[in-house]
Amino acid sequence: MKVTDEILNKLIDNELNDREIKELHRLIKYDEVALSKVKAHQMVNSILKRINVELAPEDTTSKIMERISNSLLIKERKNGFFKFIISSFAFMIIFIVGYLISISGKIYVSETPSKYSEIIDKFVNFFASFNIALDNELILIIGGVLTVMLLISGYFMFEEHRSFKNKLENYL
Amino acid sequence: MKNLTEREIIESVLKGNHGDFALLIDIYKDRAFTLLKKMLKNEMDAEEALQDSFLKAFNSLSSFRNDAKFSTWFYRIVYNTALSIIASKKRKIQMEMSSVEDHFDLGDFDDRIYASSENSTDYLLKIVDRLPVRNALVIILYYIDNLSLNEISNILNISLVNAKVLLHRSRNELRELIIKHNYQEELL
Repeated sequence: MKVTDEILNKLIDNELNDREIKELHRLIKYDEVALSKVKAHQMVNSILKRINVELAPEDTTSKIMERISNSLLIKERKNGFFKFIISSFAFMIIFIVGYLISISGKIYVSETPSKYSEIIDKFVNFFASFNIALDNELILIIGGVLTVMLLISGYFMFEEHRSFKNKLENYL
Repeated sequence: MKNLTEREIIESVLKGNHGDFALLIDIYKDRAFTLLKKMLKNEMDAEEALQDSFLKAFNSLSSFRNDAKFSTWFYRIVYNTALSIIASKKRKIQMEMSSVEDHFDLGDFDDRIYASSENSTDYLLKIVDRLPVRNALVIILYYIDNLSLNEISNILNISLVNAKVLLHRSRNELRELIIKHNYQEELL
């Protein structure tokens, strides 16, 4: 047996069996150089165990918690904005669908009267009240342009959010 | 102070008790700070990286798998945060970070450190500060955080064999320095 780096590291990590330990003890009894190596290696191990933990600045916890609170606030604001955009979409879609139904509903109700005709009538009348506004061509154009703009910006927002999320996941 | 286990703290934070995250900060801030100082060699950068690491951990806590160990997961964030700071500041430590073939090149430093050291402990701890970054990280994670080599390899994103090589090589080099200055004779 030779006192190699591997043997010394195994000794420190308690990976030597009884036979190997006995052999090592026998070896260092007569070999000064080997004894020095074992002593030095054990010394390194015992000193490394005494490495001090460096204390983080005292206000670290409060600073981090403050940053977390701020980030939560920003998140809430962003969520609010996102909800606003989604609500606008939903409102516009309902408005357009309602308008289309009100046009087609008139034909449907008049041709096939049924027990639901009263409910459908109310529904149609409700949306028909918007017809005055929607009959105006300018309002229709503005509404259409706004819808397209919202759809495009919504798409980019979604894509940006998705790529950021992917980046974050890759980074972590 | 609440007496909760790490798992309970995480569950509590995920349920919306964000204040409980402070308990996790108190557990890990000093050890993470030690690690960051060794990597960034600068107290202010280390403090900034420490805050960033905890913020990232908080924001992605929902993705933490309960079967994993929090310390391993968190130290990986700490390590990556430090790496990105190093990259952004373009520090010239590529030689230190590039491979497992890192070697000690103390040059004149050894004589200076030896001359300014009071004893073997003082000397060796100063030498540890001069170790290549990854060697120093392995030593800190192994000796201060008592992590296994397997966990260390996960944090540093290296193989288990490489983690073992880094630890053994560091010990061997430090041993040779101890022998060079005949410190081993202090041992009875």
